[in-house]
Amino acid sequence: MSTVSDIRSTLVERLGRSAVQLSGARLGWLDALRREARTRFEEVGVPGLRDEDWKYTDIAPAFRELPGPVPAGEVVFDSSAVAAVVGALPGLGERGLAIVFVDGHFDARLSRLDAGVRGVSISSLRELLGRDPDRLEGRLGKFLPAASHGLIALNSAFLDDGAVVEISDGAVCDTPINLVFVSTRRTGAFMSQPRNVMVAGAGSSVVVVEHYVGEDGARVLTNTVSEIEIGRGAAFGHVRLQREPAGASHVARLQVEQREGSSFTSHAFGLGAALSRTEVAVRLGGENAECTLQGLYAVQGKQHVDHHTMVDHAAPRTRSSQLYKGVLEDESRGVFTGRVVVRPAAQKIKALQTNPVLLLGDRAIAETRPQLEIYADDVACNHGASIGRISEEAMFYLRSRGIQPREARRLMVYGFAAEVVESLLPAALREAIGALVGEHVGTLGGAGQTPGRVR
Amino acid sequence: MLLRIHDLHAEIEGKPILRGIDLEVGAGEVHAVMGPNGSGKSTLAQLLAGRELYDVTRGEVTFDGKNLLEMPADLRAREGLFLSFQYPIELPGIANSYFLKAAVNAVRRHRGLSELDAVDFLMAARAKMKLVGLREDFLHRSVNEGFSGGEKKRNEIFQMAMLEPRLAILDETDSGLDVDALRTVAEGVNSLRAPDRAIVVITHYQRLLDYIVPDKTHVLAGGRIVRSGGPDLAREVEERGYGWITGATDSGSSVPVTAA
Repeated sequence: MSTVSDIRSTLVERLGRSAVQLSGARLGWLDALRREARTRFEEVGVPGLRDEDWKYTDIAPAFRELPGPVPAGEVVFDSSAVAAVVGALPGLGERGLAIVFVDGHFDARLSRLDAGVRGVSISSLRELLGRDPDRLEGRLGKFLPAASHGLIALNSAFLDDGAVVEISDGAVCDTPINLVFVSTRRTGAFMSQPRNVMVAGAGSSVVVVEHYVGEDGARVLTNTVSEIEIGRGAAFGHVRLQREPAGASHVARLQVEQREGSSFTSHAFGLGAALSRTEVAVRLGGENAECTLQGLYAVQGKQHVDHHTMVDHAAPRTRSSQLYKGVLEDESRGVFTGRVVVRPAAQKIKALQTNPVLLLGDRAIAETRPQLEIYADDVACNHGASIGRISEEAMFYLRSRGIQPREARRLMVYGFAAEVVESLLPAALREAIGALVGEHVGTLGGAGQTPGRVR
Repeated sequence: MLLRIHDLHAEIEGKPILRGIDLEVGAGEVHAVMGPNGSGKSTLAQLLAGRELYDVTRGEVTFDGKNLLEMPADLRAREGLFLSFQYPIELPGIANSYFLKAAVNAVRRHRGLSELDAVDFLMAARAKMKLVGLREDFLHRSVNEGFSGGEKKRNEIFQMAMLEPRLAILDETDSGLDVDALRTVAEGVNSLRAPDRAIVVITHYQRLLDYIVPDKTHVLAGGRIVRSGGPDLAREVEERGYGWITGATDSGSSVPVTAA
């Protein structure tokens, strides 16, 4: 078994070896960015349980097998099998926009990048760094906190590929843009560390869906960072579908910077992986900016899922609202930490947060931590959490109509989870994800008919 | 006899509530069960429907010749027993249409009938919704969520119409209803009378029985049926109060029967 310092030194050593193969290797600014990140990682290493922010989630086991990134030239896979996985993703269909990565590297054959709309540009990071080397200078890492934790630093140190989405001022993209990350069942444990950058110009409108999926048995550690900059008055919809295979580990950071009058809606689904940690950090940097963060984690067996949100009200009249729902079967563990900071100048803001959790298993454990730091004096902040079981009264009502206990239970769980899907747009995406969620909660506690809606 | 209750005793957490109920209801009949608060009316209704809160300490109940008490709640419903709840619960996130289609098909499967697909279900639902005055958009809404008292009761009767039970128990269907809602609900129930169906109307107030006229009336007090009679018994109880039947009870004074 590897110790924490083994992990650190092995990864640092790998960094040295892979530097030559990473994209944009000869770009001075990028090289400096990676070096700084490496230094940071050497300093702090992988977050441990003594770190207050990681108190309930021990991420070290994900590194036990000392996974390393897969060099670009070594990605090998059965393309029809992977194409089938991609084709089955909700909301994709035959004409959906998708940029597809396999084991961390862009695959042109599986991708469809032409939006057919002016002002919408989708490219791979590696390709962009080759074609237009200075475009991203000063943008990568621009809004990440100076003292990031070790895994963000690790992602930066190994920065290689990912999706770059740029929406020009005023552009409206009606079709969701899908960022697809597939992990294959290759021999040995490996890391996939996509770095995604998305910029929405002033007054623009776009929906981006990030999919994390893989073949059964894929031994992947995903460590991803997505940076989103939302311009003045722009509307950005974001969906994360974490459906990693059973043995995978998943760590993610979504860092969002909002300008005045912009709106950001995020739906994070934590359904797969043995161990996952998703961080959504939003800075409401301009007046009247608003964000809605919703999440659903529904897990079973010994799965451990951790969601950590951080909303920074840095300007007056900003609004945030968070709804994270958990469904925990068997002996699974669900953690939610909702942090809200209100700066002194952020007067007349509104921040709401709630975390209802349904415990299905007798040994399931839910941790919920609201954290409010309020430095302004004219604010409306509200937080709540509830942890409970399925209502016996509700079960009796369903059974009194002839519905069997298993089906009644599934109906109840779906009814609970559905609230998180309800606010999804566009409608086609909402229906596809609703069906996916219905199917997924149907697997909690046994197989059989899955719930849905009659329309 | 569709329903036969013999010497039924039941308690909740060691506290006796039903102290020897005897009741027989035949197909095609409408029976009223009246009684003051605390007499055990709702306990009887919920127990018959299979709520597991109550312990039966003595007695038997047969439904269509079968041992009802041995069946779990959902089986009783599939066998044709329906309970209209006094306080129907809200089920957020579960659409009325989805819930009821699942229920109707569970019952149909049990009866050896083919299941209704979405289209057939909608057609059947629309017809029955008219019966109780529910609007089209009702189907997409979550079960009972944001419904007024009247809407909830009409939803109960709508469900009864869709499930076509052999025995329907209406637990204080009139509570919380104004006269118009009461009339609509009563009309709905009356339209569901059938020769092979029995209805037991449980009520505190006599008023409902002006609209749903029973064949037989029983007065339940202190966990027992203390008096049975024809439709006129309800009027007598209304005029004289429950105290007239129960005599001096532990709680003392007679309890008025008419709605205030």
